[in-house]
Amino acid sequence: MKFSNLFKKELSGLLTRQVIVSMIMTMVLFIFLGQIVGQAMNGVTDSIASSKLSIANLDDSAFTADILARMTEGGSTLNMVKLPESITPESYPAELEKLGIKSLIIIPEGFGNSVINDGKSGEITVITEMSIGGVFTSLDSLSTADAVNTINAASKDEILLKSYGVSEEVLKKLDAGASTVNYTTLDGKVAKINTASLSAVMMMQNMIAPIAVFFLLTMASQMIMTAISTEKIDKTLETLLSTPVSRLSVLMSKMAAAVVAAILNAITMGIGMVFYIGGIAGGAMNAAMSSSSISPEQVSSADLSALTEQVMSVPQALSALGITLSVGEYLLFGLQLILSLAIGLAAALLLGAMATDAKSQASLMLPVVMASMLPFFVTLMADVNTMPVMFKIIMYAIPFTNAYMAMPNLMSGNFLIFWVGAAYQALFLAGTLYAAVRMFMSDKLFTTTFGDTENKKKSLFAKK
Amino acid sequence: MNVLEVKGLSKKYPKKDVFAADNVSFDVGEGEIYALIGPNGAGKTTTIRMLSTLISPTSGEAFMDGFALTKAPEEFRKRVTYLPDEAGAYKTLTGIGYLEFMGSLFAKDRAELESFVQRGEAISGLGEKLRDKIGGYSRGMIRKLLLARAVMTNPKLAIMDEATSGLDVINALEIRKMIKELSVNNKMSFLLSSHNMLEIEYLADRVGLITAGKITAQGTVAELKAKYNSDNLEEVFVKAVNENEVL
Repeated sequence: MKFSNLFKKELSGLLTRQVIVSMIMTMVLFIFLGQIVGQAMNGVTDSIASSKLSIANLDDSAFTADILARMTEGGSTLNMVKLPESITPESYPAELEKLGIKSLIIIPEGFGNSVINDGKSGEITVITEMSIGGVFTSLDSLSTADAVNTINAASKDEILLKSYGVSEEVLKKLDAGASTVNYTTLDGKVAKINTASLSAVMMMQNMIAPIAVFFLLTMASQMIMTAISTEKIDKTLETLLSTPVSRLSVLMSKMAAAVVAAILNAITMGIGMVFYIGGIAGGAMNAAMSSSSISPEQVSSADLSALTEQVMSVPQALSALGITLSVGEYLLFGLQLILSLAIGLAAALLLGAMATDAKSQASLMLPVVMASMLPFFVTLMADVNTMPVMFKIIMYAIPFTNAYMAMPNLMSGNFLIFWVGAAYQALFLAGTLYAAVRMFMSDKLFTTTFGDTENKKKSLFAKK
Repeated sequence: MNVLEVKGLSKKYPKKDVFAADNVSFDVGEGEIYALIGPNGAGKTTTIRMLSTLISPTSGEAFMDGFALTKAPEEFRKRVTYLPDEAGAYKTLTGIGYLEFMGSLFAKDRAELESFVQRGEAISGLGEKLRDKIGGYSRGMIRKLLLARAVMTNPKLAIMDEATSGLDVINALEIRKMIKELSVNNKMSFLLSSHNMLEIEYLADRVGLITAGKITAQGTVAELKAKYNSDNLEEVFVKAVNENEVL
């Protein structure tokens, strides 16, 4: 009896209405997140599983035909395409679009004979369409890379080569395999660079901004909420507001201090996260940077192999694909960040003013954290702009989504989405700020509370 | 000369059927100690909060040195300090840091701030403890610090809700003595609220008895004792409250 009463008391203290609400909200968040990520994953795995390897075979040798036949036997579905004779790298994006494919392998004329007679592989061209989005949107090129590896492996397979009468002398001269010339296309533009490496660099760049936004939002919100609620909980607010300073000054000083502290926090956390992600994506990043750090002039003077000759540097490729941000666009990103930060602060201020104790403060912070976390994870993994309309509307209705999507939208030239989002943000901010200032300037600061349900609760220990 | 004049001050909270303060009127003279007494929830804190400009009155007006509460709250607030019941102080600051911070919100210049802080240091009686963080203070020490803060700026009117709550007998006596001295020597006026009738009897020049939001009786302690035919203020309190409930 005594134990059960003690147990009931402890449990009722732990499982408050706020805690239950936060549990349900967390569950709903992960269900929603799972749906979105699942959809993104399904799209990618389906495309990898069902996609045909598009190959333009310009070589009429039996050796090349044999390699392709072995690939088919190995389970690959080949989509053999014909290319116009006049094709140039500039027309690659249009050709991919015309053929309705996202990647293409071009085996050059004389590829087979060169391997068999001289032990030298030709130059295979790989063209891949890149997409700017979450982690899962950059996995499409995996099957193409696998196919190139298969061709390379076959070009060095001594048993296969001997069956074509390749002499021991030629076998000794075998090179490292076919060299690959990579082209990346995006929105009708083309750049001579490896898509996977470029995607890794892009992913790095596109992750830094959301991480910074996420930390900035949650920390600034947490700080302003703590600044207000602690004054209420510690009973210092009444004393402070009875002094000859305007409430607006008190409010603004708290907001400004929260922003400064949050920026410092976001910088330190952001640096840590960049190194953390850098460690994960290090291999791909290094590969891209090592090939990109050589200018075309340096390549020719150093007489390096054709592998890196005339390969664009990452900045050159980003510029050629039109995915660099101008100073004006960086300013627009800053504008979006300020809007989001202001919304977070205003919302946290409004909610913090209702806190009566540490427990209610934690519960009141939950909506802001959830609203920051959901779009953070979603945009990290998937491209919101390619989602079904319903998901898209839900995601963009969360004001912070606009901040996470600002960078990709500006890079992709989705200015309409950016400006509509900014206008929505501005309206949302006006409404939240109005409510927050009104609350702070009025009696409600002292009369509105959250979670005060004690008087409505039935006694746990009352006899039925 | 009156420092504070309260005229028909009322407050009705949203979603509540009754007035928390209903047509409250009283005045406080220069150097006078006026005490508001009444049962819990009678409207003392609501009245005090309105006079501290924390909440706005639904109707009525109050004047401080001629400045109207509703029309010139900034001027009104400059002349008042407020010590809430169970108030806290910033735990990360030292005692002296707290006095400096709060003083800076009242002071016109550095010299005035220094005089405020010196005064606060002396009144608090905390000595070297003022150099310690408030986080390590006892409840009594915090109360002394807050009291020092409330009077160091030499306000026209110091509003104190349960001024000596949490203090031991010796500290409480010191505070009462300090309030008395400030009212006599510095002509500082006080509006007190307390449940300690002995304290009120010792301190107050006049008492206002508030029940169900209304001031039902006011006068000197002697006048109230005579009116309710009582030997002490506790008896006055009980009789007045019972009378009001019967009515």
